[in-house]
Amino acid sequence: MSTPSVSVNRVLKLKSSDGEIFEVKQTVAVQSGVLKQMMEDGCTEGEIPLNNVDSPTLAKIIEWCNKHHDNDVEGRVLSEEREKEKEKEKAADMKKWESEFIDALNRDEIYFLLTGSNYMDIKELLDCAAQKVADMVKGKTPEAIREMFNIQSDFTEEEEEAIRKENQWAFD
Amino acid sequence: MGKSKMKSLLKKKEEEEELFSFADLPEHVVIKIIEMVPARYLYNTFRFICNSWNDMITSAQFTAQNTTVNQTKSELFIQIAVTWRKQDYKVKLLEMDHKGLDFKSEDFYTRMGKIRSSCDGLILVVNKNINGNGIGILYVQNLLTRSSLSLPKCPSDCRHEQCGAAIGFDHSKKQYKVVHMCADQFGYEIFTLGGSDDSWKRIPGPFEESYDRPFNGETFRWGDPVLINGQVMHWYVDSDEYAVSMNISDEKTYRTYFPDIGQEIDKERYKLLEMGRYLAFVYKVSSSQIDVWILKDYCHGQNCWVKRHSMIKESMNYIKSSSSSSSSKTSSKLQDHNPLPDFMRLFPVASLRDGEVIVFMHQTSKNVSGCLYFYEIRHMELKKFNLRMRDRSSFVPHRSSLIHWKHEKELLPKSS
Repeated sequence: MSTPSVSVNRVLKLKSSDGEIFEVKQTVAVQSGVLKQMMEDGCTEGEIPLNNVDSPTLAKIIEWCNKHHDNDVEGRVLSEEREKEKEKEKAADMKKWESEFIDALNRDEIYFLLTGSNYMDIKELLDCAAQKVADMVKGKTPEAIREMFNIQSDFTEEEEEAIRKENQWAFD
Repeated sequence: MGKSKMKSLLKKKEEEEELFSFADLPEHVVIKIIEMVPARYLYNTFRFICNSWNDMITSAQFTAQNTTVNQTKSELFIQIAVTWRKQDYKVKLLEMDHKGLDFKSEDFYTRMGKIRSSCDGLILVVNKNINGNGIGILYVQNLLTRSSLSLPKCPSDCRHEQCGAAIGFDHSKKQYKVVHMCADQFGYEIFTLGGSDDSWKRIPGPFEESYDRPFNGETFRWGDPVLINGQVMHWYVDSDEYAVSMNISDEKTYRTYFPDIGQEIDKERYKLLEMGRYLAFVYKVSSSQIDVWILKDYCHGQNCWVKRHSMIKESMNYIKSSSSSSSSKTSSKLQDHNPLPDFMRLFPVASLRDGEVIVFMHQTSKNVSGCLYFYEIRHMELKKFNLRMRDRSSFVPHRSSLIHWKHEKELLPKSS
């Protein structure tokens, strides 16, 4: 029988939808609500199939989790003052890393990151990706957003015209 | 909002197979995204994507939820009086980024009058131009949805030049109320929006006898109160001991005593602000330290103040920005040319983003105001912005909302 507890050195084998295997430390994998649950239930022997996540996306997700894991454990023995200083630096570094990580992705990659992090239940990553999408639509026209979201307009021409008239900036 | 409706509107274009469609995203993910979009974009853009989104965004339920959930989209109105005509203001609307200390700013020049208070996207404005007789009229407006409502004249006949007024939300009765105070002998005047009675109600002021007043009745003028959680108002009364407070649900007034800061309070050095839905007492301890106290709770007549933060000159990160919204970080070498300001010359004016950020105005001499400083508590980061301020600038923290109405009876209550 396998041991149900999370141990530092144990690794999980994650299998992406296209059959690639990724090894992840258990201590990193707990960031995923789904994997955490599986570990608690003691059913992480062998390969864990993630049928909704392809290998490029899974690689990205693991990169994110590793980064956030590193950030949690390092530098525990510093003096209080030094630790505060370090905390500040780390928070700033993480902020920078997160925005670079997210900004480097294209539309499709973000979409798959959304579905993947949702499927694996990684809240922070899902929030970060959702925020990115929200930022992407700011300042865009309805047409551009329709195209981005792949949505067909169902307004009649009259409705569209009425909307255009109504949609003037409040301070004019 | 109909959830099945959402699903159907996200229909995939049949001819494009490979292109991802947001139709495949689970509903709660789509809702998460939409909630992160500022109300302004929802109203001005998202509404026009398709019928179902329009229905969803303008629905009472979404409006109410968006008003309560959408707490981090922080904006700030800065109004600078145009000196040659008192009733005209140059207005800046700053929208803070969700992280860091940068913001977008939008300028407009307006004759709509002076914004006195903001609650749930509704602003309380004094307009002197409506009648052309110079007598101010109070009205409530949502700049985004352009719903607007004029209030009847106050029984006190106030001209609204030197008075205190604010709009708040009574969580128990689910009604918006405007509270006005110009002279404590006359008392408070309260107007309930969408109420059955289209008139002001008058209740006694906070001081029974004139000798109870902490201020000089000849020279003191009431100002606009600090609004906490939309519901509790605190007025500065020139006291080194307390502020005068009112919970607009029961309309009872009481005194809120200041924290014990270990020394006598100098009334020139403190400022009351709303920070993250709590009352904050911001105190300039010295030219290199500012303390932030938070009123955590009010229980059994006892205030529980907690010192939340000390801004210490030596231990903060100072960033200097040359223009208003660019985010160029300067190296530490350059800091010598832009020394940290004397904290005694910093005047806290507002707190943004749920209490994470404090905004200070720098006053170089008695009547000249220089630039703004933004301070982020978590990262102890201070950043200077060269927005040219002038004396008599006023600051009103704001959050956009989708609240709209055609008739005042429709004033939407929010779910709590």
